[in-house]
This record gives sequence, C-alpha cells and structure tokens, in this order.
Amino acid sequence: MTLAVALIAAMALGRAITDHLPIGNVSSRPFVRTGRVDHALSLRYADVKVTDVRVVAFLGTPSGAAAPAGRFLAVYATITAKRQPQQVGYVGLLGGDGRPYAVTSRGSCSVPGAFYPTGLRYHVMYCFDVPKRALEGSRLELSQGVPGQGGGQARDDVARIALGLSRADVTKGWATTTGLDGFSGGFETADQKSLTLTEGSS
Amino acid sequence: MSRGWWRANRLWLPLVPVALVAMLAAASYHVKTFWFDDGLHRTLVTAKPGHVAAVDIPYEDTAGKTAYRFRVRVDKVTPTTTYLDSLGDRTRVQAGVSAYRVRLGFSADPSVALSGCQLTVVDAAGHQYDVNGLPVSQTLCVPDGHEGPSPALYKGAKRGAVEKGHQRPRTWTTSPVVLVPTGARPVEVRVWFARPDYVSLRLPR
Repeated sequence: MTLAVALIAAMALGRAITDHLPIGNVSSRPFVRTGRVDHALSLRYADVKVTDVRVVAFLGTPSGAAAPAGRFLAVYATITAKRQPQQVGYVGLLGGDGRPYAVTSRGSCSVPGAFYPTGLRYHVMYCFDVPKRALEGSRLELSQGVPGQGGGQARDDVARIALGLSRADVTKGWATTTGLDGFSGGFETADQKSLTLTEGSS
Repeated sequence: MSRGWWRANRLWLPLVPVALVAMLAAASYHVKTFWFDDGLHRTLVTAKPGHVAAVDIPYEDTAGKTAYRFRVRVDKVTPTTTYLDSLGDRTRVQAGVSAYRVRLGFSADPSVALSGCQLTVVDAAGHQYDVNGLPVSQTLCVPDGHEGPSPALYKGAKRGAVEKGHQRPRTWTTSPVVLVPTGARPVEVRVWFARPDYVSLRLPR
C-alpha cells in the first residue's frame, strides 16, 4: 500500500514538473556575453569587437547607390576565431524598440554564415535597414548557431553588444544625407569615408 | 543519519554510483554529436615527415560502395609573401599574417573521385587553419581544371563521368596557401573528406 502511494506520488510530481516548470525555455536559453563599442568581447570560439557604428542614408555598391526604407545602420567589427576556422551563423540587431532586425541583403555588406580564419583579425561591416525608433539603445547580436534552428551549436555563447546610440546620435544620423561604401569583409579595415550622392547616381 | 538508516539501505546504497555512471553514459551521445563528430578527431592514417600516406577511406554514394583511394605526401612547406584572394587577385600578405605554401604530391587512379577533399594545417599549439575557410580560391587536392570524377550524388548518376580533356593524371601536385598569425608554426597537414576522420601528414620539426 505504501509503495503504491509512493509510486503514484512520484508520477504526479513528475507530471507537475513537466507541465508547470519552463523546462523548454531554460534548456534552450543561450549563454549571453554583453559588451559595448570599442571593447573586445571574448567568446568561447572567437574574439569580437565592434569598432564603429554609423547611420547613413545610402550604401555605395558597384552597381550604384542602395537606398534604405528607413536608414542604414552600419556596424563595423572585427572577428578573430580562436582555435579553428569559425562560422558565425547568426548576426542580427536587437532594436531599441524591442524588435529583431536581420542583416540587409542590399549594399554588399558582410553576411551571416561566413567562416572566419583562425587567429587572424578579420574586418566586417554588418548593415541593417531600420526605422528611427529602433536605433536608440540598439544592440548587435552574434552567435555561432542560428536561433530556433537547434542543430549543431544552437545559440551557444551569444555576443550582445550595446551600440551606444543616444537620442542625439539618432537625430543627427537620421538627418544625414551621406552614405558609405559597402564592405563585405577583409583583412584590411573598411574605407569609412563618407559618400555624397551626385546627379546621375542611382 | 542514524546507523539504522545506513543499515536499512545497505543493499541500495552501492547502486547509487552505478546509477550515476549509467546516467552519464546515457547522456554521452551529446559528446559524440556536438564534439567528436563536429571536428577532426579520428586519425585514419599517419605519415611521418617526408613519408607517403597510403589512404583508403570507404564510403557510399548513390551508385553504391566505393572509397577515397590515393597516396599523398607533403613535398615541402615554404613561406610566401603573396596569395590569391577570393576574386583570384594576387594579394600581398598583411602585417601580422604569415603565409605558407603547402606543396602536396598525390597519386591515384584517374577513376577515383577526390573532388570533395579538404585541407587543414595545424600549428604547434593545436590551432587549426583551413585553407577552405579563408577568403581565397584555390584548388586543394586535385589539379585545377582536371579534378577528375565526382561522387554520384543522385539516383541514376554515374560515378566517374569526366568531360573529355579534363581527366585527372595519375600523379599530380597542388600548392595551396594557408594564412596563419605571425609566429604560428605549422607542424601537421590534415587531408580529410568528412569529419571526424582525417589523414595526418607530419611536418619536419
């Protein structure tokens, strides 16, 4: 009789745990390392440093200027893989409005999914097409796994880097009419010279 | 706890460490999936410096059972000051970066598919540098324009079909360039097709 009661109690307890505790959320929550501009962030698989942030009105590409729906936020960073060539599967922007923004495919900027060489500082430029409300307080997110895809290294060791954009920065950036050259990545730093649209640019 | 408790549970207590070991063993598939199979962890063949590795790695494609069957050795590893970038342009090595040209000598029957081959260079500290992971476009293990056959990748595909004039010779060399941080010294070249298996070619100390 005692054994039967103990057994039923154990089963009830197990059911209560699986029904009411957030087991799924806890087990998939990533390790997050927070950082800020100009400070190197050491992840398990790579060192990441955001070196500059710019808000621009267009991006220069070989086929002409690419214009955003809002403004382009360009994030310059360096990535140095630690022990082996490292794929960075996810790069995104957590807007100050609480929404996630994906890297834009326009403007010839760096894209997620690329492999970065071991021990060598590689320069990248991630670009986002964002509305004004997303800029203030926005953060760059970067990880080797992709959110929601599980698989190999699901969101293990996520970098979340505050881009330090104040309200004044946003007002100034939103008013700009200048642009930047797109940059897909390389061992040399990107050319960050401001561009101006001239007649005939498209 | 009282002596009576220990006595009452004397038969079950020895099972606790056994249960712990069984629990760890049951969870150990994570080690295989997320670590062992995710990197180069199983040496199939090792060749001493200057020696030839005779490789025979069985695998299966859609045409049936076959093998990566070839011989390979490192002829020499030499520093270089230029490499081809992703656009095929010759580029000077940047400050803080060292480039090594790895000259490999291969021999294989022209009917053997070797087109999926990868190279990894390992330094004395165990850091791995993939030629394929760099922004360079180079032929790794097969001669450019004469890669030979590819594995049969879909049902009905014929393994070994090669365009006329593009057959692979019986012996050939390749010389890919790998970029490492200045100060890193290559000690091993790994030739591989699918993780975790690789062929280890040791370099002279």
